[in-house]
Parts: sequence; C-alpha cells; structure tokens
Amino acid sequence: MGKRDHLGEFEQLVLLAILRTRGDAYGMMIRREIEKRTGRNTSIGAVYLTLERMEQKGLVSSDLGEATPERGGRAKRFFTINPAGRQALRESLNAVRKMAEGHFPIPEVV
Amino acid sequence: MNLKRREMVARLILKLLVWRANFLGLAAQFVGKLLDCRMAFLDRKTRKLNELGKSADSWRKRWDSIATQFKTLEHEAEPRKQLVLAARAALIKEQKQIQIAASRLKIGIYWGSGILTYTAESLKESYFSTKKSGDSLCTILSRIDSATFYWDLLLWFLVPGVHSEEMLGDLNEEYLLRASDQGEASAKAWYQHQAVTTIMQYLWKRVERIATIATLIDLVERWLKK
Repeated sequence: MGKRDHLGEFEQLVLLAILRTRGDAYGMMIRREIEKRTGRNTSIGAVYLTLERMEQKGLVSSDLGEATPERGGRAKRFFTINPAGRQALRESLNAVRKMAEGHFPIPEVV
Repeated sequence: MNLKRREMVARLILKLLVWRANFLGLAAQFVGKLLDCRMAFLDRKTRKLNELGKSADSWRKRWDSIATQFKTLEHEAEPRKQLVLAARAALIKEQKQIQIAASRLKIGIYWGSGILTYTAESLKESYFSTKKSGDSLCTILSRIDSATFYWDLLLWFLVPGVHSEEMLGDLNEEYLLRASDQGEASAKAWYQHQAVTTIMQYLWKRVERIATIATLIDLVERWLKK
C-alpha cells in the first residue's frame, strides 16, 4: 500500500459495511449499516463520495443491478471490495490496533 | 401540489438542456472543421516532407561522389581542384538549407494536434454526460407528481457524481420505506435532510477542487516570478 493510500476513518467504515452486507452492498444499504452500527447520522452523499473516491483508487469495484419501480425505475449499484481494498483495510485496522496497544485492547486483523 | 407549476419548471429545465445540447452540437461542428483544416495542413506538410526526403537522398548521392573525388584531390589539376571544392561548398550550403527546412516542418505538427484531440475528447465526454443527464431528468419528470420532485430536481442539478442516478434511486427507495413505516411527513423531512447534506458535501468538494487549482496556479506564479 502506497503512502497516499492510507484509509480515512469513514473509508474504513464504508469498507467494513460492504463486508458486512455481503453481496447486497449498495449505497443505501451501506449507509444504513453504518448508521445502525455506529449510531452516526450519515448522508447518502458522503457514502457515494467515498465510494467514488475508493473506486478511482481501485479499492472497490461496482456493478449495476436491475432497475426497480420503487426506485423510480433506477438501478442499484452493488459494490465489492477488491484485493487492494482488503489489504488497505487490514493494514489500516492493524495500525489502529498497534496504536491502541496497552490502552484499548483490539484483536489483530488477519 | 401544483402540477401546472411543476410542468412549467420541467419545461424550463428541458429547454436549458436542449440549449446545452445545441451548443455542444455547434462546438462539435466547429472542432470538426478545425480538424479538417488540421488534416489538410498535415497533408501539405507530409507532401513537403516527402519532397525534402527526395532532396536529401539526392544530396547524399552527390555528397558521396564529391567525397570520393575530394580524397584524390591532391593528384588533380588546379582547375579540376577548384571545381570539386566549389561543388563541395555548394553541397554544404544546400545541406544547411535542407536542415532549416526540416526544422521548420517539424514546428506545429504535434502541438496543434494535441490541443484539438483534447478538445474533441472533452466534447465527447460532455456529450455523454449531457445524454446521461437527459436520461436522468426524464426519469425525474416521469414522476412529476412525486412528493420529492423538487428535491430530486435540485439533486439532479447540483450533484453531478458518477453514480448520482443510483444515489437518487437509493434515496427514493428509502423514502418509500420510511413513508410506509413512519408516515409521509417524517419521510419527507428525512429526504430533505439527506438532500441538503448531500448537496452541501458535493458543493464543498467542488470548492476544495477550485481551491486546489487556485493554490497550484499561485505556486506556479510564484515560481515563475523567482
């Protein structure tokens, strides 16, 4: 992972939400997952801005689903983590764990 | 809900989109003409280069012949010597002229093409983005009686993200869910809050980009002043 690829906190949350929603990771699902687990009021714009940025970096990739009437005839865009994204997330979480050592014990990410 | 007013707004926006499309069409025609001129210019240059290549070949043959004669010049009579030296001097002069002509031909061949190709590519991108915008607007207009119509329009206008269409779909989906769970008023308030924060974030991103460009320009200016 290059020096410029260090993940921000919200990027970590978005990547973890993609992992948690397993195969159903589209914008609103990711937003809801973050809101449900962290209690943080998150806007859909913030989620998409982060996803677009990470897609440009090659950390995530996306595919279009089918359009549905409840979405006004618009399709869902499903996101998946690339190996580079997984690696970046692992390194980033391990860095937090190392910094927290001795103060807040966090299990190692493998 | 005032449908007439909504239709008026929709018509106005459609007109703006058509103007934009027309402008893009005109710009594309203009760039097309420039590219035609450029091609004609390059054709002329290619022809001149071919002629120059022939001149250079002929020069090389004459130079080889003179060079052989120049080696045995000591044994030649004076008038013959003068002749060979004069021919050699004339060939050196001709060589310089060929070099100057070649360097003149090189100027402007790549530079102009690069700018035109970049402009054509930008226009192509603008065309696709306008087409995407138009499709997205059609989806919004097809639901002109929706409670979130104006907010959808605002998001469509101010949030030009790569996945803005999918984002609008996500918002609409959750709006419907919330409207059935918590009621229309609560869902509408949630939608408005989401729309405002999203617009603010995208606008802030634009401001940041402009600030970055301004800082870069300032740095280059300072560097040039040094």
